[in-house]
Amino acid sequence: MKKKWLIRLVFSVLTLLIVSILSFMIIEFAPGSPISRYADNPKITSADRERIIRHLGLDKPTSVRYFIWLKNVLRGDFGLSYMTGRPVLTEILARLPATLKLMLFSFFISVAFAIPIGIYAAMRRNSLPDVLISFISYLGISLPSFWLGLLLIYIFAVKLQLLPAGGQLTPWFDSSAFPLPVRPAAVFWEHLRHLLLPAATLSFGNIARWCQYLRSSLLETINENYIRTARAKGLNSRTVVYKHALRNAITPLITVIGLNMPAFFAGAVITEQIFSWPGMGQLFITAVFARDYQVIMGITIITAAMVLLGNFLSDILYAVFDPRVEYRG
Amino acid sequence: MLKKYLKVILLVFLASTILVSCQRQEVSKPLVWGIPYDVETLNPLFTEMAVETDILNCIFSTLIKVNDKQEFVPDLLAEMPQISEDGLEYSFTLRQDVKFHDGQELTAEDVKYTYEMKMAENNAVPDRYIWERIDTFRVTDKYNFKIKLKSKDVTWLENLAYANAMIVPKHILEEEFNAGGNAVSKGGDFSRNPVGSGPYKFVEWKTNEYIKLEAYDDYYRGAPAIKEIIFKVAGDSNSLLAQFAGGEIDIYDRAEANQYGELLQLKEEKDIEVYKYPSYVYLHADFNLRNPIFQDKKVRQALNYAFPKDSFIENVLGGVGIAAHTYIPPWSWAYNPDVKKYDYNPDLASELLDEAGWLRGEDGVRVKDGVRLEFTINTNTGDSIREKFEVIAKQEWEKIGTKVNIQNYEPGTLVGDILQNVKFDIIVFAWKSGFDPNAENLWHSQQRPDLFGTGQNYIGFADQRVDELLEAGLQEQAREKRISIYREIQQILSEEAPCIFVYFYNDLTAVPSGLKNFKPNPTQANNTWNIWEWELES
Repeated sequence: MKKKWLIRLVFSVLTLLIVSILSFMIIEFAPGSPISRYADNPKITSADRERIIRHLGLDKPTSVRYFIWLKNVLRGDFGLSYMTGRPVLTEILARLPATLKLMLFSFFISVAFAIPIGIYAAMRRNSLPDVLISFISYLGISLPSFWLGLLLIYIFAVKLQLLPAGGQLTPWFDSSAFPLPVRPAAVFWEHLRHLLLPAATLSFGNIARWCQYLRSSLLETINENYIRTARAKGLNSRTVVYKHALRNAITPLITVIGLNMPAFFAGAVITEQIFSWPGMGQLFITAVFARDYQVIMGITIITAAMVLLGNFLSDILYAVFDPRVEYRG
Repeated sequence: MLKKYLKVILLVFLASTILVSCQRQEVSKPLVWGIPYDVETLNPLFTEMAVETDILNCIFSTLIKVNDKQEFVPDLLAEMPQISEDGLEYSFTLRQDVKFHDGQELTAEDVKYTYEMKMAENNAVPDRYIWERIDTFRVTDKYNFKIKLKSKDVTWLENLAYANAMIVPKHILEEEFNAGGNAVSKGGDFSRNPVGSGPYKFVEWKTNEYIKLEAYDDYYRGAPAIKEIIFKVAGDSNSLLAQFAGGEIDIYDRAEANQYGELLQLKEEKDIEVYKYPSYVYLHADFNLRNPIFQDKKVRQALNYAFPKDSFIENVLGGVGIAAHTYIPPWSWAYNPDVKKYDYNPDLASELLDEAGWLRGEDGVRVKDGVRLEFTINTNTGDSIREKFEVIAKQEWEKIGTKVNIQNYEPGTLVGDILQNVKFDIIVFAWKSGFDPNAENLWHSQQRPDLFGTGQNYIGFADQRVDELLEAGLQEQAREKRISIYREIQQILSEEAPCIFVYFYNDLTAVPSGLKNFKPNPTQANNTWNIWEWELES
C-alpha cells in the first residue's frame, strides 16, 4: 500500500516537471516578449531595451533560464513579476483570498442547488418540471458566462441599481458607521451583495451541468438490482433514493467536482474580468497580455499541482462514498 | 426545518437591505475615479502607463506643467527656466515653500537625486530619454540648479512636464537605494508607499481593487477642496460604463468613441457632464515600404483615395473623431492646412493604378509584371473600430481591383512580433504624439528599427529632405521658423503617402455635473493635471 502511494507521488512530481518544461517552452515560443510593450514607445531606445533585457535576466539562453527558474522554485522562490517588480508569490497571495471567496461561495451554491434539483428531476422523470429543468440546464450549459454576466449587471446594477456591478468591497465602506449590534450583519451584507452576481454567473453553468449528471446517474442506479431488492423489501421510495441510490449515484459527480477543484485556485478568468473581481483569473490574463513569464509560470505550476491534488482527493472521496472502491493507488 | 432556514435567511436579507439603504445617507462618499486595470507601480522612476500618470499627478509634482491650453507653466519652479543663448544651458529656480508629505522641504538636491536615480546603473527604469541628454547637473544653492545639455534639443523641456520626470524625495529613496545594494526596485517599498509633494497624500493601495488618497493640507497651492479620492479598478469599457451608470464610480475617463451615444443618453437621466475634446492620438494604416507593391507611390495614393475617411468617421465613430491628413492635428500651431487631402475618389484611385501599370487580370485583381495586387491588413483583436476600418477598406479596395486579406492578432503579438519584426503589409494602430510637432522617431531614415535597431519608423520611410528638416526642427528655437519646417515635412508626407492618416481621436470623459475646474488636458499630462483646483458641488 505504502509503495503505491510512493509511486503515485513520484509520478506526480514527474508530471509537474513535464508541465513546467512544456509551459516554459510554450511561453518562449509564443510571439512577443516582456519588452514588446516598448515597441511603440518612442522614448525607449535600443540601448534601453538591451538594458531592460539584462535586468530581467532574459539575455541568457532559454535552457539556462529554465534551470535557474527551477532551482529557485525548489527553494520556494518563484521570482519577481516583470510587471510590478514584486515577488510572484506576493502577487498570487494578494489575489488568492478574493478568488477563494468567490469560488467557494459559488461552489456551495452550486452543490446546494444541483443536488436537490438533480434528485427532483430524476424522480419525476419526463414530467413537465423535469423537461423544464432539462431545458434550463441546457441553456445554462450553453450560455457563455460573459453574456450572462453582462445581462445580470445590466438588470441588477444598471437598471435596478440593487447590487454593485463589480469589485469585492466598496472602497469607502466603513463598518464603524453602523451601531454595534448590526455591525456584523452590515459587514456580512457588504460582502454578500458583491458576491451575488459573479457567484450567480459562475454557478448557473455548474448547477446546470451537475444536476444533469446527477439525474442521469440516479436514473441508472435506480434500475439496478439492489434498488429493486430494497423496494421489494417494502422500503418507501424516499428511503430507497436517499439511503441507497443516492450514495451510489453521487460518485460520478464527485469526480466531476474533483476535476473542478483547481479552479478554486486559478479562478474564473472571464467572470473575474467582467465583475472586476480582484482574483487569480485577472492576474493570469494580465500576465499573459504583458508576457510576464514569471507570473504565468508561477500560476501554471501551482494550478498543475492543484489538479494533481484534486484528482487525488476525489479518489479518496470515492473510496469514502463507494464501499466497493478500495484505494489501490 | 427547511422552511425555518429559509425564513431566517429571508429575514437577514431584508434587514441587511434596509441597513444598506440607511448607509447610503450616512457615509460621505469620496470622489471615485474608475480605472480599467490596476497600476504596476506608484514610483515615478518606473512609471510607463497612462493610468499611472492619472494617479501620480495627485501625489507628485513636476518642475513644469503643460496646462489645458497647452502652454508651459511652472509647477515646482518659481518661474520658467532661463535658457542660454546657445540653447544648451537651462537655469532653474525652485519655489521655497514646497514640502514633501512627511514635512521635509523639497530642494534642488531632490531634483538632482531624481536625475541620479534615473541614471543609476542598477535601477531598472524603463527610459532615460530625458536624462541621457544631460551633460552636467550643477546645484548652485538650495533652490537653484543649472542643467547643461549635450546637444541642443528644443523639445527637451516638454518632457519635464510628465510623470516620468516627477521629483522624488532624496531622504527616503536614499535609504531604499543603499539597503537594496545600490538599486531601487520597481516593486520596492516606495512603489507601494509613495511620498511626494503633490496635492494628495497616499493612503492605501489594495491590489487590483483601489488606491486611496487624501488631501494634503500643506500643499503649496493650498489644501485641495476634495478631501478624498479613490481610484477604483473597474475593468474594461463595458464594466466602466456599467459602474458609472450604477453610480459606483463618479468619473469615467477615456470612454470609448462608440459609448458617446450611451453617455449622452445617461446625461438625460443623471446629473453628469460629458466632455468631448480633441486628443493627440491618431489612427493610421501603415504601408510596409519594404514590400515592392507599396514602393510604388501611386499604389499608396490610390489606396488613400479609395478609403472613405469622412463617412467612416461619420458612421463608425458617430462623429467622435476628426479626419487626419498628417500626423499633426489641425489644432496644433504646426499644422499645415494646405497638405494634400485624399478625399474619397475611387475613380481617381483606379486611374492611378492604371497609370502605374497595374492592370486587371481575369479574376478582376490587378497584376503587374506577374505580381498580383494582393496584400493583408493586420490589427489587434478586440478593437471594434479598427476591425471595422479593415472591413470597409477591404470592400472599397477590392472594388478598385485589389485582393485584400484580413488577419488580426492579440495585442502582444501584433506589437511584439508583427510590428517589431516588420512582418506586415498594412498595419492599423494608433500613435500618441507629444504636442511638440517633432516626430523624428517616426519619419527619420535613421529611425528604421529593422536597420538601425532603434526608432519607430516601422513603415521604412526614407527621404533625405525630411531627414534634414527633422534635424533642423530640433535645433530651431524660433516658433515661426519651426512652423515652416514642419509644414514642409507635412507637405512631403502627404504627397508621399507612406500611410493612411485616418483620424484624430476625440477623448471622452464623463464627470458629475457638480465638478468644477475640470479642464481636460489632451497632452501626456492627462486630466488630473490640475486636480488641486477641483471642487465638487452637490
